[in-house]
Amino acid sequence: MAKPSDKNRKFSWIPGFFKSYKGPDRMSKNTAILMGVVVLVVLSIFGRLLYLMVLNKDEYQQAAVSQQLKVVNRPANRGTIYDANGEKLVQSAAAWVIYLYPKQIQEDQRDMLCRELADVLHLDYDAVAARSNLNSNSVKLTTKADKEQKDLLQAFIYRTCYVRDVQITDENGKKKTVEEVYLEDHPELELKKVENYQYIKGISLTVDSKRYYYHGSLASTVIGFANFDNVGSGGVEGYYNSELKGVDGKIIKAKNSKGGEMPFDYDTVIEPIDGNSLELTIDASIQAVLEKYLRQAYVDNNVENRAVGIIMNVKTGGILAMATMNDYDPANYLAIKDAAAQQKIDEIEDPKEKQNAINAAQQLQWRNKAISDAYEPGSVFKPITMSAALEEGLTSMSDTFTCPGYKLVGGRIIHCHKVSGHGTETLTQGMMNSCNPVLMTLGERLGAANFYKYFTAYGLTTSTGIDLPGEAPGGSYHKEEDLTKPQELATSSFGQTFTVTPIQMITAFAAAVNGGYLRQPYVVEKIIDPDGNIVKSHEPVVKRQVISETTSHNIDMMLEATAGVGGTAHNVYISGYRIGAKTGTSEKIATLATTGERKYVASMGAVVPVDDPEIAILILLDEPNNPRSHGGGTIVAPVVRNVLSEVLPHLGIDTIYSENDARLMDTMVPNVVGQSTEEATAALEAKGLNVRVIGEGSTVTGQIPSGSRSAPKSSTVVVTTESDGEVPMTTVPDLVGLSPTQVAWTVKNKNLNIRYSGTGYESSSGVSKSQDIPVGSRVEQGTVVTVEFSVTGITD
Amino acid sequence: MERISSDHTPEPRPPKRRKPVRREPDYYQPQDLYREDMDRFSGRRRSAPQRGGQKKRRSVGVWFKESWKSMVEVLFNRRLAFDKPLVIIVLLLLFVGLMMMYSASYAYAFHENHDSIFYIRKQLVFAFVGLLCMFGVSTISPDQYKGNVTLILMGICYFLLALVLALPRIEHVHRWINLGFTTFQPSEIAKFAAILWCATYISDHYKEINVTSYPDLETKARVNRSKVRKWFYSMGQSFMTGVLPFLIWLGPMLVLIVIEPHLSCTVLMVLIIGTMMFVGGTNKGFFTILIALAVLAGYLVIYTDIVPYGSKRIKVWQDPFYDKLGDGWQNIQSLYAISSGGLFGVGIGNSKQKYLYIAEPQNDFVFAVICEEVGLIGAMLVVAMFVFFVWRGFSVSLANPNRFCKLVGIGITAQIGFQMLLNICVVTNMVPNTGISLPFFSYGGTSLMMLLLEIGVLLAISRTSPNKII
Repeated sequence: MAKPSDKNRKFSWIPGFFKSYKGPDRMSKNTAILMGVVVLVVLSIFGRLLYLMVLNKDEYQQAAVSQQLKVVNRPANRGTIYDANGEKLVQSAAAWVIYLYPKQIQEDQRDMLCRELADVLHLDYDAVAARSNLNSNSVKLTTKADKEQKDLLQAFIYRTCYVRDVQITDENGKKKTVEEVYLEDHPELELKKVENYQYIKGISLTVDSKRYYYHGSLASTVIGFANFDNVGSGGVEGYYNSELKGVDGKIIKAKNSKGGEMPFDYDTVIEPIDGNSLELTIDASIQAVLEKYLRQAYVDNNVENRAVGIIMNVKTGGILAMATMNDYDPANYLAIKDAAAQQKIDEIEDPKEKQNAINAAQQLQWRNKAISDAYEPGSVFKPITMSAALEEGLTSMSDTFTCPGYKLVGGRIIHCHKVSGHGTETLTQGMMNSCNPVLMTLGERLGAANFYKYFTAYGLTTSTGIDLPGEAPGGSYHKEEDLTKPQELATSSFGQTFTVTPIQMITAFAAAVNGGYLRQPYVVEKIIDPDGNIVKSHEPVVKRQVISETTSHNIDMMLEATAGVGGTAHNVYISGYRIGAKTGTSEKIATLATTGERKYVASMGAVVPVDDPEIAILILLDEPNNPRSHGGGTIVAPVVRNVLSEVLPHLGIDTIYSENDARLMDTMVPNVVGQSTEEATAALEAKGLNVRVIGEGSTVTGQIPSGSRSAPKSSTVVVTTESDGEVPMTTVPDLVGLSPTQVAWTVKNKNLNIRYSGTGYESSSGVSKSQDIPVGSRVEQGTVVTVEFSVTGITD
Repeated sequence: MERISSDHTPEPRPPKRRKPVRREPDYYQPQDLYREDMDRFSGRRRSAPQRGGQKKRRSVGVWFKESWKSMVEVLFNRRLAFDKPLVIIVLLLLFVGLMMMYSASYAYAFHENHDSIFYIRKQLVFAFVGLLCMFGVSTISPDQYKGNVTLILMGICYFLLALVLALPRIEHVHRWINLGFTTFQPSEIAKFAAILWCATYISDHYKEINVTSYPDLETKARVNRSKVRKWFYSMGQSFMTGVLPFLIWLGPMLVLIVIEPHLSCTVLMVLIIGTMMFVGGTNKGFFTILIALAVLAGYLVIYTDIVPYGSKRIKVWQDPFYDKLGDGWQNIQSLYAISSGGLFGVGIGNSKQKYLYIAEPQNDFVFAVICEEVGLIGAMLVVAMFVFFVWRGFSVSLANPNRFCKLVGIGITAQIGFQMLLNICVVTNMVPNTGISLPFFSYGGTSLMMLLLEIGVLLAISRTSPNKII
């Protein structure tokens, strides 16, 4: 039963039992709307959170992880480089990188810090101070501080300090806590003692790896160097960089935004793997000998365009020594080692030009001339041509030639170096005389095709493939079609008008003398991993047999003759060894054509021993400025001789003395003092010594040369008896500049003994160069005077 | 059906002298009840003289003992009990907030002050004092704030806002007053003062505001004009009653805060005052216009370069990587932290982003650390706790029959709710970055004190309400 008023009521969803409820008032309604808005916003926030944290979390999460990780590099040590005998040449050891953080350096410590750094690291104070004031976060001061320097700096930076926290109010009125640090304890301040507190702020020491070169600049062009970033450059350091460098390790840590570490067990350590080590074919002792004499020659002859020396094991192709003068110090590879070059640079005013000059000088001293630069081999090439002619059967050992001093080639006269001519000569004599017409004749007989065939077969048109960086692909040479021109063929046959690199030349030379086998030269014998296992061992590579062993033997014999009496290479002769050698002096035709100056390359190739060749050596001086001579036989041969005289005993090559040599060899003089005169005479004569007795006594009271000394055989020992106590004195005459016969006569007249040294004393070609006892000295009779001879007037 | 009740509930009739029988009324007038209890709390006795006729001099010990007993009685008086869910959610929020604040702050505290518990120690002290104050304030009947108290507070507030401009800048702004042991922001008081003033004004003029805003209800017959003219007329009327007084009384306050400058507080106050006006019944047309203007302004700021500073801020908001190491740093690091959390988080204490990536993680960006440490589930729970608090706050406010109390409660709840929403929107890069803190969670001693005081008022509103809600 509806009430009348119900008609006016609007329809309501509210059930009947809520009729007394008048509905929410307006404020409640508005508040409900407000609550609805809040819920809507909250729902959208939930959506956003769902998107960020679940649906699309990778994008930011990964970025967060990457910014939270700190990767600390743990550098691997580069591999060690050993020489052939296992001696360490180069080794890596810990070094410290020093960073400065200019913004963190405290002003009152700045000066002190800079002074200490300059002092310990041997740097310029002003430079350090300038770097410490740079407006950057960090400055790398050095990468190569050694342990001693690091210890000094560590003691300077980390000290025992007394610390307390104090509250300060900064310029914004915000309170901050800072540390107050004292070096001494102040009991009234209640300080806390902290060991190893970083007292000096704004500097850090990080461990790294540094290269130590134990032999200084020894074999620097072969070994190369590791640069600022520990990357190998030049030499085996560069060529085998991937083997040597190893794999750097890492420590991955969590860090805060200031770079500090978080207290999480988050560290991942990846250990570094050290690089593999190299064992070279280079023998440090041989290298040292070669460098010693090469440097001497480089200085003595005032060589303008550097000098090269290579010693090769002809049985394997391994390089025993390889030197280039002037070289550099790998530990300080940026410094110009050549004092003259440095002086020239210092004189340059313009900074840009100066920098260019420095760069050029650095590039030059790093350049391994032995493999990178080509030269005209000259007469050293002659054995190659001869071997080709012999191999082709176009000549024989009994063949004879006539040298009128020139040869007419294609309507043009090409002179021999001896303008008067060598006359009629055999093939061997042609080699001994280094006679150009003989070689031109052989070249003519060979013809372009054959000559080019052998030229290529000896590997002179391609790089040798030695395991060193920067090898030149070869020099410039005449192609087969060019060689059809008779003049080109003629000049090429005696080693002119084409260029080869020294390494190509010695490889070909070695092939000509070792039985004809062209081997690939190499410097790395073994690659050894950090545990000592051999990763790779070099297998000698025989590229081809160019000539037969018989031909090669003939070449050896001819070379031995060339190094013998009357040969142009006689200055290389060392008694007891069978040395074969060929000198070379080539004129730089290109330089002559462009500048008009006569520049030469003096060189010599040698092989020892000729009956079973072991080593080959090539030394060349590019543009020597010796007023005496520019010939290989005069200025290079003594260098080779000196090198070989030390290297051959080191290599243990057997000495075999000829009769003549044996006669001049030293023998031990027995001590005969106190014996009877007869006994003494018998004992001395048993040793092959002559005896001259002074006085009439029956007992020997003195002898010159005295007992237990060595003296050349056939010396005369002066023996005194009790009746005449003193050995008579005599004056040493001037023995320089004389022929061997004159010297022998003069010495005998003065009752002295002579020891022959040098070369050429067996023949009339030798001239005495020096004596070991000064002219005019008063010495006892019988004293041994050593006189050095050499062969002069050699042209090739 | 809508009902407009008058502001004042009628005064209870004075007891007749002839019948001095004390009778339990149907429902308690909160003031009366409260006054009674307050008398007992403070040890005064207005009721019958004591037995023995003579006034006894009581010792301090006895006074203290009785006071303590009375306070306990007041606090746990079942009749006057405060809303338990509200108290529980507040204590829960405070506990979780302190815990997360500690977790977020210790790395930063160690870096800044070499003391991991630097912030949490201070915050704990303030929280303890704040809780005492909260329960203390909850024993004061909130209707007493109406009128003079509000006016005095407004006066103090204007004075402090003027004073802070005269004081030296702290961190480049006139925002804090340094008290030596701590700093505090007058704008914190300003928010409360504005709430009180709005509540006072609206409760006094509720009918006028509503009548002018909704003329159809009672002025339909009187105003007999075209619809457009009627709309303009009513808008004018509504403006005079529902907008202009707010502008006059609170406008200068906002201006003072703007020139501090304190943009986030300004935004928050506009929202709070707007909420009060909305709830109070101001014509919704104004809100429509306001929202339209805000959208227009937003469009201008975002898509044109009229406001250079704002535009930079907007650019960073749109693409935080626009200025990766500068203004965008905060946003980026916050997003990194949130995304690092995933569904379940990395565990409490295990945040990595708090290690100096998030600048001052204990302050505005504490929610990012929460997201990282407790994940989506935890973050949603935290937000849900706030939502529950807001709902409960609105409920207890509306349950109170006193309109002033209702409005104060709604204002306080809305303030906390808006602050939470704005903060989380900033942290999740939903709105441009403004420095606004997360209630209960962010570090800040005086603001926590103020917050707990306001919640004390809310509790007082809940306990003086006879309409207990479930």
